[in-house]
Amino acid sequence: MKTLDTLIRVNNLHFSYQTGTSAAVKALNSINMAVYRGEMLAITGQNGSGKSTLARHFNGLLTSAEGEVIVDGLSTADIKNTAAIRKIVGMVFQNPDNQLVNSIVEEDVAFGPENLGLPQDEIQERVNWALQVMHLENLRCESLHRLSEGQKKQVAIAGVLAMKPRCIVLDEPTVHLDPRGKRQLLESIVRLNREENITIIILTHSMDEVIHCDRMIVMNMGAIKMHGTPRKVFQQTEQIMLMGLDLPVATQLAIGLHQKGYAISPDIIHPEELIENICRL
Amino acid sequence: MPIVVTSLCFSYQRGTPFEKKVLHDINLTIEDGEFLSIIGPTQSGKTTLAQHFNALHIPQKGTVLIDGSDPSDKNTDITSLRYKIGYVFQNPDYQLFAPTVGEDIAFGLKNQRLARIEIQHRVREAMAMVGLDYNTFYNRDIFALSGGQRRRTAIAGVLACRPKVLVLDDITAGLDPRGRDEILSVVRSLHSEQNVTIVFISSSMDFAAKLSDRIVVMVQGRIIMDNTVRKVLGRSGELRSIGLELPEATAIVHLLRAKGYPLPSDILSLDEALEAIDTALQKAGATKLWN
Repeated sequence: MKTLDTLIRVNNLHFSYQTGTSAAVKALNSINMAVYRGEMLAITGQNGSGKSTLARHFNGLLTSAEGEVIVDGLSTADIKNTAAIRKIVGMVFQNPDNQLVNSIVEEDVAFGPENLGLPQDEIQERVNWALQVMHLENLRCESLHRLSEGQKKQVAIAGVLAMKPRCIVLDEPTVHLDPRGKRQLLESIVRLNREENITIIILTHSMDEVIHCDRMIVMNMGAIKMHGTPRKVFQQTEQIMLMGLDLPVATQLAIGLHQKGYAISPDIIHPEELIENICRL
Repeated sequence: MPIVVTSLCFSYQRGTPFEKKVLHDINLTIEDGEFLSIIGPTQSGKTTLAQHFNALHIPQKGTVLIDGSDPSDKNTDITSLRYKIGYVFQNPDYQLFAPTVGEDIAFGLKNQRLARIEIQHRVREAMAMVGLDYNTFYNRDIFALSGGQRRRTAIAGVLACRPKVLVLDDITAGLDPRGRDEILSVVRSLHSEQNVTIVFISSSMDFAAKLSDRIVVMVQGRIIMDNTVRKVLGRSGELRSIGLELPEATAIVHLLRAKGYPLPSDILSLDEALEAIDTALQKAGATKLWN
């Protein structure tokens, strides 16, 4: 962990959809957690475990009568704070088509800053920066409909980035991408965190993404069941299985070799670590 | 029920300035009872090719023979062909439209004007095959289903028509690990127990390697490999150059090979990888702390 300075604090949050009707569904049950400045946090759990519902509280897309969410000192319950909070926490949805509004890449990226009413040269500067960070400069005048799914995802992130948020929430960013698209997108996300110092929250089922994060949270039926560094959490193998999740492949191999009697630590999560450990035998 | 594709070409927006060639001279035979995977990066033409297998696309050039009948022939009964070749779309929402699970699964059967009792029987049968409990789910609202349950309903609707061939277009996308494992075990048992021919389309090598007998690799509208899974996995350099990746356990074994460990290049699964690494380490004289 780089720092323990809290950016988002969630206190005893409860949330139900369709409250007061017979179809009321409790989606979040007494959530207490923090997101620290500069960290990369993974929120995992099965479909329907409450990941997206929780994430939508981080920038006030959802608010609850029970419990509170404080973003950089501002409560999401007070609608006067909403605009400020959304500048701090940007959201990248699962389907990029839900947030791409213009037909040309650079125009789409400029949409957010234009709406902030910024002067022209500031907009220009932010668009240039966002395109450069996402490695999209050579596509700046391209039509969005000519881009691959992976490239569209990159543009959606650039659009959020141009708002200069301190934190970006990404909902299942690599789903529907092919292997190369996945790898490139993940590299961009890690770069945003490490080089631009943007706090990253990824909602995902993919352990390939989780192993790059500083911390992970596992949700089940609207509650947080496990949390800690991926290395620690993946040691609780039975619990992970119970939550319906996978272990990273390198961890599974390390555990297997450890059980066969080799001096290999079972808390390996990255393939490179496993290779190093094996070569040292 | 073999499918024989000969010299197939296909373009979108043909005859316009925006014409885009997506299939170039495809030759492929799918035999009865096979479990074939078609793997390729985004926009490699795999979905377009597969949509020729049940006459969703009619060949523009070349031929596709489905159990000997030619969809380009005006006398071919295309509707009945489509009941024999079931197609499960990438997104279940493209094919679910009735209000409840039971009605949705029965839709194709009603169109075939089957007797009510036969429809009931087949819906029950299809639900059992995909592991949807009849009493729990028959009247369940489609919108109250999880992603995995939606997939299973979509597959059940196709299975109720008792197809000989099932084309599955990227059916694991968006599912959580448990939902994904459940749906894959349904597919595996359809193949091994019901003897349904499976055409499994994906951009990931992971599940294809575990499930199929044979893999076809496509890139930019052409077939560049058509071989057993082990042979295809052996060509890792080429796969990587077109943007595909080996299954992760296989990739780790390849990294160890590069470090000089004598390991096979065609590892299919994690268990195989573990055994192979154990054998190689023993040969190299690595010490064990216990046995």
